[in-house]
Amino acid sequence: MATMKEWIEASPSRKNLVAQERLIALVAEQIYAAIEDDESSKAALAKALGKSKAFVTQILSGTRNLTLRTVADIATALGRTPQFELPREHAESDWQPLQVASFVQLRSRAGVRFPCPNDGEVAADELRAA
Amino acid sequence: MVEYEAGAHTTIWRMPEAIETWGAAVALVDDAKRDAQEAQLVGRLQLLAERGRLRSPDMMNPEGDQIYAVKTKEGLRAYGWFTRVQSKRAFVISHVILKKKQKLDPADRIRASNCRDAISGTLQATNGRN
Repeated sequence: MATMKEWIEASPSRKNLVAQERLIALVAEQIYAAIEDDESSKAALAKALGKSKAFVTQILSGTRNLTLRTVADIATALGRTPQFELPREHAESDWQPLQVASFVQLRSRAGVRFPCPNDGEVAADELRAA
Repeated sequence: MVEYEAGAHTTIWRMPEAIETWGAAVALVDDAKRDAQEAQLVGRLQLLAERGRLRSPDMMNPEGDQIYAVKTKEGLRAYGWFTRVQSKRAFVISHVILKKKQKLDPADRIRASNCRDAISGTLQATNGRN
């Protein structure tokens, strides 16, 4: 397989497995980031959670399967608000190359002027001529 | 060198040897765990491409001489280094091993360093053109 995408899309189960592993790694990464930002430690987090340091180590290595309740407890112990988002995957067909010429024509018809950092505004017609 | 995954932060590249050794290392993983382990490596590389780093040393570990290993629980290791390719942030994978079944070669870091040094002139020339 030449690319990651080709390997993932070769089977539906791979897509699921990679999504699971990516999420596990992302949660560990964000917990690590919070510990680093606060100049805290795994031991301090373990103490705040009332758990062993080994428990925190397992979380951060991605070997322990976390429940949402545990994630919420960890976030609270770190003084953070847990959040869950499901951003839509963008299909390649959602993205169209922007043709500058078409864009300028479109804005010109609408009578829009373009802000220019050096000379103030320039008219769309001037841009097109340039 | 082949582009493997272009993330929001970093692009992952694979040297020809990385492609060959990747398949060989994965083939050594137990049948029942093979897809899951490869998915774990892929998921971690995907997150690395999105965020530019993995803080957990169980997922990504510095091996010295600015060589890093992206790791899985069962011993897959993708060795590589950070650089710029065509002026974009990049992580180049030199080779992949399975640590538990392939005796860890103490020269793995040197192998990755040599690979980096061998193509550094080519990369500098490429970046200079951009």
